[in-house]
Amino acid sequence: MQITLQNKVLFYSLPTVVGSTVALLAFWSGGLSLIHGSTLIGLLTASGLIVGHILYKKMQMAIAYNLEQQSNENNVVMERIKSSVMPLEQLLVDVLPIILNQIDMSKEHTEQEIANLSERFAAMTTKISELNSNQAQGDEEYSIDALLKGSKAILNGVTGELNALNEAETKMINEVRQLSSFTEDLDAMAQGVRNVADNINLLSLNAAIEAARAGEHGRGFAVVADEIRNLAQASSETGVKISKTVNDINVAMAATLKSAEITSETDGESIQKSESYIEKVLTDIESTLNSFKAHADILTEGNEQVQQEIYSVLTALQFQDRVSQMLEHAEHNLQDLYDVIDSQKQIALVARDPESIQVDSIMGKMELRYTMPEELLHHQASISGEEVTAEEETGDDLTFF
Amino acid sequence: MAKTIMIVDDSASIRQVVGLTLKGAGFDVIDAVDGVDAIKKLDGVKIHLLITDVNMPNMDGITLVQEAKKLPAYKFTPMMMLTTEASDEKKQAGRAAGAKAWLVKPFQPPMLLAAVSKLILP
Repeated sequence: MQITLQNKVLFYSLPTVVGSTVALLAFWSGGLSLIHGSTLIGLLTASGLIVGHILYKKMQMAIAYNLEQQSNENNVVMERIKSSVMPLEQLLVDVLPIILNQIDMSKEHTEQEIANLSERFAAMTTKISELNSNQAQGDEEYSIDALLKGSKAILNGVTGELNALNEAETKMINEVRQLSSFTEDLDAMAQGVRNVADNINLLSLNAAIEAARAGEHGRGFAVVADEIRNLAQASSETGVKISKTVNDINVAMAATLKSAEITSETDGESIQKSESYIEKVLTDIESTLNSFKAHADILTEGNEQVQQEIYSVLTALQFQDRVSQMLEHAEHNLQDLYDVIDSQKQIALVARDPESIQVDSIMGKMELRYTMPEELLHHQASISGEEVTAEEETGDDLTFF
Repeated sequence: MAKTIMIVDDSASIRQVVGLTLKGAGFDVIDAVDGVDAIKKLDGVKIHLLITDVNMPNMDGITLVQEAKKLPAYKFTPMMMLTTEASDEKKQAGRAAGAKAWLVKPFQPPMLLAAVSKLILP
Protein backbone atom coordinates (compact mmCIF):
# COMPACT_ATOMS: atom_id res chain seq x y z
CA MET A 1 0.00 0.00 0.00
CA GLN A 2 1.32 3.40 -1.03
CA ILE A 3 0.80 6.66 0.98
CA THR A 4 -0.70 9.17 -1.41
CA LEU A 5 -0.24 12.95 -1.36
CA GLN A 6 -3.75 13.42 0.01
CA ASN A 7 -2.93 11.04 2.91
CA LYS A 8 0.24 12.94 3.60
CA VAL A 9 -1.68 16.34 3.71
CA LEU A 10 -4.30 14.73 5.90
CA PHE A 11 -1.69 13.46 8.38
CA TYR A 12 -0.06 16.86 8.66
CA SER A 13 -3.15 19.09 8.45
CA LEU A 14 -5.55 17.24 10.74
CA PRO A 15 -3.65 17.74 14.09
CA THR A 16 -2.70 21.27 12.98
CA VAL A 17 -6.34 22.17 12.23
CA VAL A 18 -7.46 20.62 15.56
CA GLY A 19 -4.79 22.62 17.53
CA SER A 20 -5.56 25.84 15.62
CA THR A 21 -9.33 25.41 16.08
CA VAL A 22 -8.97 24.87 19.87
CA ALA A 23 -6.71 28.01 20.16
CA LEU A 24 -9.12 30.08 18.06
CA LEU A 25 -12.12 28.95 20.17
CA ALA A 26 -10.21 29.92 23.37
CA PHE A 27 -9.26 33.27 21.87
CA TRP A 28 -12.79 33.90 20.56
CA SER A 29 -14.36 33.20 23.96
CA GLY A 30 -12.29 36.13 25.27
CA GLY A 31 -10.32 34.09 27.78
CA LEU A 32 -7.01 34.92 26.13
CA SER A 33 -5.24 38.11 25.11
CA LEU A 34 -4.06 38.61 21.52
CA ILE A 35 -0.50 37.71 22.44
CA HIS A 36 -1.45 34.71 24.44
CA GLY A 37 -4.01 33.67 21.85
CA SER A 38 -1.49 34.03 19.00
CA THR A 39 1.18 32.16 20.98
CA LEU A 40 -1.30 29.37 21.80
CA ILE A 41 -2.38 29.11 18.18
CA GLY A 42 1.28 29.00 17.12
CA LEU A 43 2.09 26.36 19.73
CA LEU A 44 -0.93 24.23 19.00
CA THR A 45 -0.34 24.47 15.23
CA ALA A 46 3.33 23.51 15.74
CA SER A 47 2.27 20.66 18.05
CA GLY A 48 -0.26 19.54 15.42
CA LEU A 49 2.47 19.59 12.79
CA ILE A 50 4.80 17.53 15.02
CA VAL A 51 2.06 15.05 15.96
CA GLY A 52 1.05 14.82 12.28
CA HIS A 53 4.68 14.16 11.27
CA ILE A 54 5.09 11.48 13.95
CA LEU A 55 1.83 9.83 12.93
CA TYR A 56 2.81 9.97 9.28
CA LYS A 57 6.21 8.37 9.90
CA LYS A 58 4.62 5.62 11.99
CA MET A 59 2.12 4.97 9.31
CA GLN A 60 4.88 4.94 6.68
CA MET A 61 6.87 2.43 8.70
CA ALA A 62 3.82 0.21 9.17
CA ILE A 63 3.15 0.27 5.43
CA ALA A 64 6.79 -0.44 4.63
CA TYR A 65 6.66 -3.37 7.01
CA ASN A 66 3.46 -4.66 5.43
CA LEU A 67 4.95 -4.30 1.96
CA GLU A 68 8.01 -6.24 3.00
CA GLN A 69 5.83 -8.94 4.48
CA GLN A 70 3.77 -9.06 1.29
CA SER A 71 6.88 -9.25 -0.83
CA ASN A 72 8.23 -12.09 1.28
CA GLU A 73 4.97 -13.96 0.94
CA ASN A 74 4.96 -13.34 -2.81
CA ASN A 75 8.47 -14.68 -3.05
CA VAL A 76 7.44 -17.82 -1.18
CA VAL A 77 4.43 -18.30 -3.49
CA MET A 78 6.63 -17.66 -6.50
CA GLU A 79 9.14 -20.19 -5.31
CA ARG A 80 6.32 -22.67 -4.77
CA ILE A 81 4.97 -22.02 -8.28
CA LYS A 82 8.47 -22.36 -9.68
CA SER A 83 9.10 -25.54 -7.77
CA SER A 84 5.86 -27.04 -9.06
CA VAL A 85 5.73 -25.69 -12.65
CA MET A 86 9.38 -26.15 -13.55
CA PRO A 87 9.55 -29.85 -12.66
CA LEU A 88 6.19 -30.34 -14.43
CA GLU A 89 7.58 -28.67 -17.54
CA GLN A 90 10.78 -30.66 -17.23
CA LEU A 91 8.76 -33.85 -16.77
CA LEU A 92 6.71 -33.15 -19.89
CA VAL A 93 9.80 -32.22 -21.89
CA ASP A 94 11.46 -35.45 -20.78
CA VAL A 95 8.43 -37.73 -21.06
CA LEU A 96 6.88 -36.54 -24.33
CA PRO A 97 9.84 -37.63 -26.53
CA ILE A 98 9.73 -41.03 -24.78
CA ILE A 99 6.01 -41.39 -25.48
CA LEU A 100 6.60 -40.26 -29.06
CA ASN A 101 9.31 -42.85 -29.52
CA GLN A 102 7.16 -45.54 -27.98
CA ILE A 103 4.21 -44.67 -30.22
CA ASP A 104 6.51 -44.71 -33.21
CA MET A 105 8.00 -48.05 -32.18
CA SER A 106 4.53 -49.55 -31.54
CA LYS A 107 3.37 -48.28 -34.92
CA GLU A 108 6.37 -49.83 -36.66
CA HIS A 109 5.97 -53.16 -34.83
CA THR A 110 2.24 -53.30 -35.52
CA GLU A 111 2.72 -52.45 -39.16
CA GLN A 112 5.47 -55.03 -39.55
CA GLU A 113 3.47 -57.76 -37.82
CA ILE A 114 0.28 -56.93 -39.71
CA ALA A 115 2.27 -57.01 -42.95
CA ASN A 116 3.61 -60.45 -41.97
CA LEU A 117 0.12 -61.64 -41.09
CA SER A 118 -1.29 -60.30 -44.35
CA GLU A 119 1.51 -62.04 -46.24
CA ARG A 120 0.75 -65.34 -44.52
CA PHE A 121 -2.97 -65.06 -45.10
CA ALA A 122 -2.29 -64.08 -48.69
CA ALA A 123 -0.11 -67.20 -49.10
CA MET A 124 -2.91 -69.29 -47.58
CA THR A 125 -5.54 -67.97 -49.98
CA THR A 126 -3.17 -68.56 -52.91
CA LYS A 127 -2.67 -72.17 -51.77
CA ILE A 128 -6.42 -72.68 -51.35
CA SER A 129 -7.08 -71.18 -54.80
CA GLU A 130 -4.51 -73.54 -56.29
CA LEU A 131 -6.10 -76.52 -54.50
CA ASN A 132 -9.57 -75.53 -55.70
CA SER A 133 -8.28 -75.01 -59.21
CA ASN A 134 -6.53 -78.44 -59.23
CA GLN A 135 -9.66 -80.01 -57.82
CA ALA A 136 -11.80 -78.47 -60.55
CA GLN A 137 -9.30 -79.52 -63.22
CA GLY A 138 -9.26 -83.08 -61.77
CA ASP A 139 -13.03 -83.16 -61.77
CA GLU A 140 -13.04 -82.15 -65.39
CA GLU A 141 -10.36 -84.61 -66.46
CA TYR A 142 -11.49 -87.57 -64.40
CA SER A 143 -15.23 -87.24 -64.39
CA ILE A 144 -16.74 -90.21 -62.54
CA ASP A 145 -19.52 -90.58 -65.09
CA ALA A 146 -17.07 -90.65 -68.00
CA LEU A 147 -14.78 -93.07 -66.18
CA LEU A 148 -17.62 -95.46 -65.40
CA LYS A 149 -19.06 -95.16 -68.89
CA GLY A 150 -15.65 -95.99 -70.41
CA SER A 151 -15.06 -98.92 -68.04
CA LYS A 152 -18.56 -100.24 -68.68
CA ALA A 153 -18.05 -100.06 -72.44
CA ILE A 154 -14.74 -101.97 -72.23
CA LEU A 155 -16.14 -104.66 -69.92
CA ASN A 156 -19.33 -104.95 -71.97
CA GLY A 157 -17.07 -105.51 -74.99
CA VAL A 158 -15.34 -108.34 -73.13
CA THR A 159 -18.65 -110.01 -72.13
CA GLY A 160 -19.94 -109.46 -75.70
CA GLU A 161 -16.92 -111.33 -77.05
CA LEU A 162 -17.46 -114.12 -74.51
CA ASN A 163 -21.13 -114.32 -75.54
CA ALA A 164 -20.10 -114.48 -79.20
CA LEU A 165 -17.74 -117.35 -78.37
CA ASN A 166 -20.56 -119.09 -76.51
CA GLU A 167 -22.89 -118.60 -79.45
CA ALA A 168 -20.22 -120.00 -81.83
CA GLU A 169 -19.90 -123.01 -79.54
CA THR A 170 -23.71 -123.55 -79.56
CA LYS A 171 -23.69 -123.24 -83.35
CA MET A 172 -20.91 -125.81 -83.57
CA ILE A 173 -22.87 -128.17 -81.25
CA ASN A 174 -25.93 -127.81 -83.48
CA GLU A 175 -23.82 -128.54 -86.54
CA VAL A 176 -22.32 -131.62 -84.82
CA ARG A 177 -25.85 -132.68 -83.85
CA GLN A 178 -26.89 -132.28 -87.49
CA LEU A 179 -23.83 -134.31 -88.50
CA SER A 180 -24.91 -137.18 -86.23
CA SER A 181 -28.21 -137.34 -88.15
CA PHE A 182 -26.12 -138.01 -91.28
CA THR A 183 -24.42 -141.00 -89.56
CA GLU A 184 -27.86 -142.58 -89.14
CA ASP A 185 -28.26 -142.32 -92.93
CA LEU A 186 -24.80 -143.83 -93.30
CA ASP A 187 -25.80 -146.68 -90.98
CA ALA A 188 -29.00 -147.24 -93.03
CA MET A 189 -26.90 -147.21 -96.21
CA ALA A 190 -24.49 -149.78 -94.67
CA GLN A 191 -27.53 -151.90 -93.71
CA GLY A 192 -28.72 -151.56 -97.35
CA VAL A 193 -25.26 -152.73 -98.55
CA ARG A 194 -25.52 -155.73 -96.20
CA ASN A 195 -29.02 -156.58 -97.49
CA VAL A 196 -27.82 -156.29 -101.12
CA ALA A 197 -24.79 -158.53 -100.25
CA ASP A 198 -27.14 -161.09 -98.60
CA ASN A 199 -29.38 -161.10 -101.65
CA ILE A 200 -26.32 -161.43 -103.95
CA ASN A 201 -25.09 -164.25 -101.72
CA LEU A 202 -28.48 -166.01 -102.09
CA LEU A 203 -28.38 -165.39 -105.82
CA SER A 204 -24.80 -166.77 -106.05
CA LEU A 205 -25.91 -169.80 -104.05
CA ASN A 206 -28.81 -170.40 -106.47
CA ALA A 207 -26.42 -169.84 -109.39
CA ALA A 208 -24.02 -172.47 -107.95
CA ILE A 209 -26.91 -174.95 -107.58
CA GLU A 210 -27.98 -174.24 -111.11
CA ALA A 211 -24.33 -174.59 -112.31
CA ALA A 212 -24.02 -177.98 -110.60
CA ARG A 213 -27.23 -179.07 -112.18
CA ALA A 214 -25.85 -178.07 -115.58
CA GLY A 215 -22.88 -180.41 -115.02
CA GLU A 216 -19.79 -179.88 -117.13
CA HIS A 217 -21.31 -177.00 -118.96
CA GLY A 218 -22.03 -175.24 -115.78
CA ARG A 219 -18.51 -175.53 -114.32
CA GLY A 220 -17.37 -172.09 -115.48
CA PHE A 221 -20.58 -170.53 -114.27
CA ALA A 222 -20.02 -172.29 -110.93
CA VAL A 223 -16.64 -170.52 -110.61
CA VAL A 224 -18.30 -167.14 -111.39
CA ALA A 225 -21.08 -167.89 -108.91
CA ASP A 226 -18.47 -168.74 -106.28
CA GLU A 227 -16.58 -165.49 -106.92
CA ILE A 228 -19.86 -163.55 -106.73
CA ARG A 229 -20.59 -165.17 -103.36
CA ASN A 230 -17.12 -164.22 -102.12
CA LEU A 231 -17.76 -160.66 -103.27
CA ALA A 232 -21.18 -160.67 -101.59
CA GLN A 233 -19.58 -161.86 -98.36
CA ALA A 234 -16.90 -159.23 -98.61
CA SER A 235 -19.60 -156.60 -99.26
CA SER A 236 -21.56 -157.83 -96.26
CA GLU A 237 -18.45 -157.67 -94.05
CA THR A 238 -17.74 -154.12 -95.34
CA GLY A 239 -21.38 -153.18 -94.56
CA VAL A 240 -20.89 -154.54 -91.00
CA LYS A 241 -17.61 -152.62 -90.70
CA ILE A 242 -19.30 -149.45 -91.95
CA SER A 243 -22.15 -149.92 -89.45
CA LYS A 244 -19.60 -150.49 -86.64
CA THR A 245 -17.56 -147.44 -87.67
CA VAL A 246 -20.73 -145.31 -87.93
CA ASN A 247 -21.73 -146.59 -84.50
CA ASP A 248 -18.28 -145.74 -83.13
CA ILE A 249 -18.57 -142.27 -84.69
CA ASN A 250 -22.02 -141.88 -83.18
CA VAL A 251 -20.73 -142.81 -79.74
CA ALA A 252 -17.78 -140.40 -80.10
CA MET A 253 -20.06 -137.66 -81.39
CA ALA A 254 -22.55 -138.20 -78.57
CA ALA A 255 -19.69 -137.96 -76.04
CA THR A 256 -18.32 -134.86 -77.76
CA LEU A 257 -21.80 -133.30 -77.92
CA LYS A 258 -22.44 -134.02 -74.26
CA SER A 259 -19.09 -132.59 -73.28
CA ALA A 260 -19.61 -129.57 -75.54
CA GLU A 261 -23.13 -129.04 -74.21
CA ILE A 262 -21.85 -129.19 -70.61
CA THR A 263 -19.02 -126.77 -71.49
CA SER A 264 -21.45 -124.46 -73.29
CA GLU A 265 -23.84 -124.53 -70.36
CA THR A 266 -20.99 -123.83 -67.90
CA ASP A 267 -19.65 -121.08 -70.16
CA GLY A 268 -23.12 -119.52 -70.33
CA GLU A 269 -23.45 -119.60 -66.55
CA SER A 270 -19.89 -118.23 -66.18
CA ILE A 271 -20.61 -115.42 -68.60
CA GLN A 272 -23.85 -114.60 -66.76
CA LYS A 273 -22.00 -114.63 -63.43
CA SER A 274 -19.21 -112.49 -64.91
CA GLU A 275 -21.77 -109.99 -66.15
CA SER A 276 -23.38 -109.80 -62.74
CA TYR A 277 -19.93 -109.51 -61.04
CA ILE A 278 -18.91 -106.78 -63.45
CA GLU A 279 -22.18 -104.94 -62.78
CA LYS A 280 -21.66 -105.26 -59.03
CA VAL A 281 -18.04 -104.15 -59.18
CA LEU A 282 -18.95 -101.18 -61.35
CA THR A 283 -21.80 -100.25 -58.97
CA ASP A 284 -19.41 -100.52 -56.01
CA ILE A 285 -16.80 -98.40 -57.79
CA GLU A 286 -19.46 -95.86 -58.72
CA SER A 287 -20.70 -95.67 -55.15
CA THR A 288 -17.13 -95.37 -53.79
CA LEU A 289 -16.22 -92.72 -56.35
CA ASN A 290 -19.44 -90.83 -55.64
CA SER A 291 -18.57 -90.95 -51.96
CA PHE A 292 -15.09 -89.59 -52.79
CA LYS A 293 -16.68 -86.91 -54.93
CA ALA A 294 -19.06 -85.96 -52.12
CA HIS A 295 -16.07 -85.67 -49.77
CA ALA A 296 -14.16 -83.68 -52.35
CA ASP A 297 -17.18 -81.39 -52.80
CA ILE A 298 -17.38 -80.87 -49.03
CA LEU A 299 -13.63 -80.15 -49.02
CA THR A 300 -14.01 -77.69 -51.88
CA GLU A 301 -16.91 -75.98 -50.14
CA GLY A 302 -14.86 -75.89 -46.92
CA ASN A 303 -11.91 -74.41 -48.81
CA GLU A 304 -14.13 -71.73 -50.26
CA GLN A 305 -15.51 -70.90 -46.82
CA VAL A 306 -11.98 -70.70 -45.39
CA GLN A 307 -11.00 -68.43 -48.26
CA GLN A 308 -13.96 -66.15 -47.54
CA GLU A 309 -12.98 -66.09 -43.86
CA ILE A 310 -9.42 -65.15 -44.80
CA TYR A 311 -10.78 -62.37 -47.02
CA SER A 312 -12.72 -61.09 -43.99
CA VAL A 313 -9.54 -61.25 -41.89
CA LEU A 314 -7.63 -59.37 -44.58
CA THR A 315 -10.36 -56.74 -44.59
CA ALA A 316 -10.17 -56.48 -40.81
CA LEU A 317 -6.36 -56.19 -40.95
CA GLN A 318 -6.78 -53.04 -43.05
CA PHE A 319 -7.85 -51.29 -39.86
CA GLN A 320 -4.14 -51.26 -38.99
CA ASP A 321 -3.79 -48.58 -41.67
CA ARG A 322 -6.43 -46.46 -39.92
CA VAL A 323 -4.84 -47.07 -36.49
CA SER A 324 -1.42 -46.23 -37.91
CA GLN A 325 -2.70 -42.91 -39.25
CA MET A 326 -4.41 -42.10 -35.93
CA LEU A 327 -1.16 -42.83 -34.07
CA GLU A 328 0.72 -40.63 -36.51
CA HIS A 329 -1.71 -37.77 -35.87
CA ALA A 330 -1.39 -38.37 -32.10
CA GLU A 331 2.39 -38.21 -32.54
CA HIS A 332 2.17 -34.88 -34.36
CA ASN A 333 -0.20 -33.50 -31.70
CA LEU A 334 2.17 -34.58 -28.92
CA GLN A 335 5.08 -33.07 -30.85
CA ASP A 336 3.19 -29.74 -31.03
CA LEU A 337 2.57 -29.94 -27.28
CA TYR A 338 6.27 -30.65 -26.71
CA ASP A 339 7.31 -27.70 -28.87
CA VAL A 340 5.03 -25.33 -26.91
CA ILE A 341 6.30 -26.55 -23.54
CA ASP A 342 9.93 -26.52 -24.66
CA SER A 343 9.69 -22.97 -25.96
CA GLN A 344 7.94 -21.78 -22.76
CA LYS A 345 10.52 -23.51 -20.60
CA GLN A 346 13.25 -21.28 -22.02
CA ILE A 347 11.47 -18.17 -20.65
CA ALA A 348 11.47 -17.24 -16.94
CA LEU A 349 8.07 -17.59 -15.30
CA VAL A 350 7.78 -13.87 -14.50
CA ALA A 351 8.70 -12.91 -18.06
CA ARG A 352 6.19 -15.14 -19.81
CA ASP A 353 3.51 -13.62 -22.00
CA PRO A 354 0.11 -15.21 -21.35
CA GLU A 355 -0.79 -14.50 -24.98
CA SER A 356 2.13 -16.53 -26.34
CA ILE A 357 0.19 -19.82 -26.10
CA GLN A 358 -2.65 -19.70 -28.61
CA VAL A 359 -4.77 -22.61 -27.39
CA ASP A 360 -7.48 -22.18 -30.05
CA SER A 361 -4.91 -22.01 -32.81
CA ILE A 362 -3.17 -25.18 -31.59
CA MET A 363 -6.47 -27.04 -31.28
CA GLY A 364 -7.49 -25.84 -34.75
CA LYS A 365 -4.21 -27.10 -36.18
CA MET A 366 -4.90 -30.51 -34.60
CA GLU A 367 -8.40 -30.59 -36.13
CA LEU A 368 -7.01 -29.86 -39.59
CA ARG A 369 -4.64 -32.79 -39.25
CA TYR A 370 -7.38 -35.43 -38.85
CA THR A 371 -8.33 -37.51 -41.85
CA MET A 372 -10.98 -39.79 -40.33
CA PRO A 373 -14.41 -38.74 -39.06
CA GLU A 374 -13.98 -40.62 -35.77
CA GLU A 375 -10.84 -38.59 -34.94
CA LEU A 376 -12.75 -35.35 -35.35
CA LEU A 377 -15.66 -36.78 -33.40
CA HIS A 378 -13.44 -37.71 -30.42
CA HIS A 379 -11.62 -34.35 -30.55
CA GLN A 380 -14.86 -32.36 -30.50
CA ALA A 381 -16.43 -34.58 -27.84
CA SER A 382 -13.32 -34.09 -25.72
CA ILE A 383 -13.65 -30.31 -25.95
CA SER A 384 -17.40 -30.24 -25.27
CA GLY A 385 -17.17 -32.89 -22.54
CA GLU A 386 -19.87 -34.95 -24.22
CA GLU A 387 -19.71 -38.70 -24.48
CA VAL A 388 -18.80 -40.14 -27.84
CA THR A 389 -21.76 -41.93 -29.38
CA ALA A 390 -21.32 -45.36 -30.99
CA GLU A 391 -19.33 -45.04 -34.17
CA GLU A 392 -20.81 -46.13 -37.44
CA GLU A 393 -18.94 -48.69 -39.52
CA THR A 394 -16.86 -46.82 -42.04
CA GLY A 395 -15.20 -48.03 -45.21
CA ASP A 396 -16.19 -49.83 -48.40
CA ASP A 397 -17.84 -46.64 -49.66
CA LEU A 398 -17.39 -46.42 -53.43
CA THR A 399 -17.96 -43.22 -55.43
CA PHE A 400 -17.54 -42.86 -59.18
CA PHE A 401 -16.89 -39.42 -60.69
CA MET B 1 -2.45 -60.84 -71.92
CA ALA B 2 -2.99 -59.80 -68.30
CA LYS B 3 -3.66 -56.10 -67.66
CA THR B 4 -1.35 -54.17 -65.35
CA ILE B 5 -2.42 -52.14 -62.31
CA MET B 6 -0.16 -49.92 -60.17
CA ILE B 7 -0.85 -49.78 -56.42
CA VAL B 8 0.54 -46.81 -54.47
CA ASP B 9 0.27 -46.98 -50.66
CA ASP B 10 2.73 -46.36 -47.81
CA SER B 11 1.14 -49.22 -45.83
CA ALA B 12 2.72 -52.58 -46.69
CA SER B 13 -0.34 -54.50 -45.48
CA ILE B 14 -2.67 -52.52 -47.76
CA ARG B 15 -0.33 -53.09 -50.72
CA GLN B 16 -0.40 -56.81 -49.96
CA VAL B 17 -4.19 -57.05 -49.60
CA VAL B 18 -4.82 -55.03 -52.79
CA GLY B 19 -2.12 -57.01 -54.64
CA LEU B 20 -3.57 -60.33 -53.52
CA THR B 21 -7.09 -59.36 -54.59
CA LEU B 22 -5.97 -58.13 -58.01
CA LYS B 23 -3.54 -60.98 -58.71
CA GLY B 24 -6.30 -63.43 -57.76
CA ALA B 25 -8.46 -61.83 -60.46
CA GLY B 26 -5.71 -62.26 -63.05
CA PHE B 27 -4.10 -58.80 -63.09
CA ASP B 28 -0.38 -57.99 -63.05
CA VAL B 29 0.54 -55.62 -60.21
CA ILE B 30 3.27 -52.97 -59.73
CA ASP B 31 3.85 -51.62 -56.17
CA ALA B 32 4.95 -48.14 -55.12
CA VAL B 33 5.34 -46.78 -51.56
CA ASP B 34 4.46 -43.11 -52.26
CA GLY B 35 3.87 -40.58 -55.04
CA VAL B 36 7.56 -40.01 -55.75
CA ASP B 37 8.23 -43.74 -55.98
CA ALA B 38 5.20 -44.12 -58.27
CA ILE B 39 6.34 -41.41 -60.70
CA LYS B 40 9.81 -43.01 -60.74
CA LYS B 41 8.38 -46.47 -61.48
CA LEU B 42 5.86 -45.29 -64.11
CA ASP B 43 8.59 -44.08 -66.51
CA GLY B 44 6.52 -44.91 -69.62
CA VAL B 45 5.53 -48.38 -68.35
CA LYS B 46 2.12 -49.35 -69.75
CA ILE B 47 -0.49 -49.55 -66.98
CA HIS B 48 -4.25 -49.92 -67.33
CA LEU B 49 -5.20 -48.46 -63.93
CA LEU B 50 -3.56 -46.57 -61.06
CA ILE B 51 -4.87 -47.10 -57.52
CA THR B 52 -3.46 -44.70 -54.93
CA ASP B 53 -3.77 -43.80 -51.26
CA VAL B 54 -4.24 -40.10 -50.44
CA ASN B 55 -2.14 -39.46 -47.31
CA MET B 56 1.43 -40.55 -47.99
CA PRO B 57 4.89 -39.13 -47.24
CA ASN B 58 6.97 -37.36 -49.93
CA MET B 59 4.05 -36.96 -52.36
CA ASP B 60 0.36 -37.42 -51.56
CA GLY B 61 -2.09 -39.25 -53.79
CA ILE B 62 -3.93 -36.20 -55.14
CA THR B 63 -0.64 -34.59 -56.21
CA LEU B 64 0.42 -37.91 -57.75
CA VAL B 65 -2.76 -38.03 -59.88
CA GLN B 66 -2.18 -34.42 -60.97
CA GLU B 67 1.46 -35.13 -61.86
CA ALA B 68 0.72 -38.41 -63.64
CA LYS B 69 -2.05 -36.78 -65.70
CA LYS B 70 0.52 -34.27 -66.94
CA LEU B 71 2.54 -37.11 -68.49
CA PRO B 72 1.31 -37.84 -72.05
CA ALA B 73 1.49 -41.63 -71.54
CA TYR B 74 -0.94 -41.49 -68.59
CA LYS B 75 -3.25 -38.69 -69.69
CA PHE B 76 -6.09 -41.15 -70.36
CA THR B 77 -5.17 -43.81 -67.78
CA PRO B 78 -8.02 -44.27 -65.26
CA MET B 79 -7.02 -43.50 -61.66
CA MET B 80 -8.76 -44.42 -58.43
CA MET B 81 -8.24 -43.18 -54.87
CA LEU B 82 -8.22 -45.83 -52.11
CA THR B 83 -8.11 -44.06 -48.76
CA THR B 84 -9.41 -43.71 -45.22
CA GLU B 85 -10.44 -40.15 -46.10
CA ALA B 86 -14.18 -39.85 -46.64
CA SER B 87 -14.86 -36.10 -46.63
CA ASP B 88 -16.65 -34.55 -49.60
CA GLU B 89 -14.00 -31.80 -49.83
CA LYS B 90 -11.24 -34.36 -50.34
CA LYS B 91 -13.35 -36.30 -52.82
CA GLN B 92 -13.92 -33.16 -54.85
CA ALA B 93 -10.15 -32.45 -54.74
CA GLY B 94 -9.54 -35.98 -56.07
CA ARG B 95 -12.09 -35.51 -58.81
CA ALA B 96 -10.57 -32.15 -59.77
CA ALA B 97 -7.13 -33.79 -59.95
CA GLY B 98 -8.47 -36.33 -62.47
CA ALA B 99 -9.43 -39.40 -60.39
CA LYS B 100 -12.37 -41.44 -61.70
CA ALA B 101 -13.38 -43.23 -58.48
CA TRP B 102 -12.99 -43.01 -54.70
CA LEU B 103 -13.09 -46.10 -52.47
CA VAL B 104 -12.92 -45.75 -48.67
CA LYS B 105 -10.76 -48.23 -46.72
CA PRO B 106 -11.20 -50.82 -45.36
CA PHE B 107 -12.68 -52.41 -48.47
CA GLN B 108 -14.17 -55.81 -49.23
CA PRO B 109 -12.21 -57.51 -52.07
CA PRO B 110 -15.38 -57.94 -54.25
CA MET B 111 -16.05 -54.19 -53.96
CA LEU B 112 -12.53 -53.38 -55.18
CA LEU B 113 -12.87 -55.80 -58.09
CA ALA B 114 -16.26 -54.29 -59.02
CA ALA B 115 -14.66 -50.83 -59.12
CA VAL B 116 -11.68 -52.09 -61.13
CA SER B 117 -13.86 -53.87 -63.70
CA LYS B 118 -15.87 -50.67 -64.23
CA LEU B 119 -12.73 -48.57 -64.70
CA ILE B 120 -10.83 -50.96 -66.99
CA LEU B 121 -12.62 -51.48 -70.26
CA PRO B 122 -12.55 -55.11 -71.43
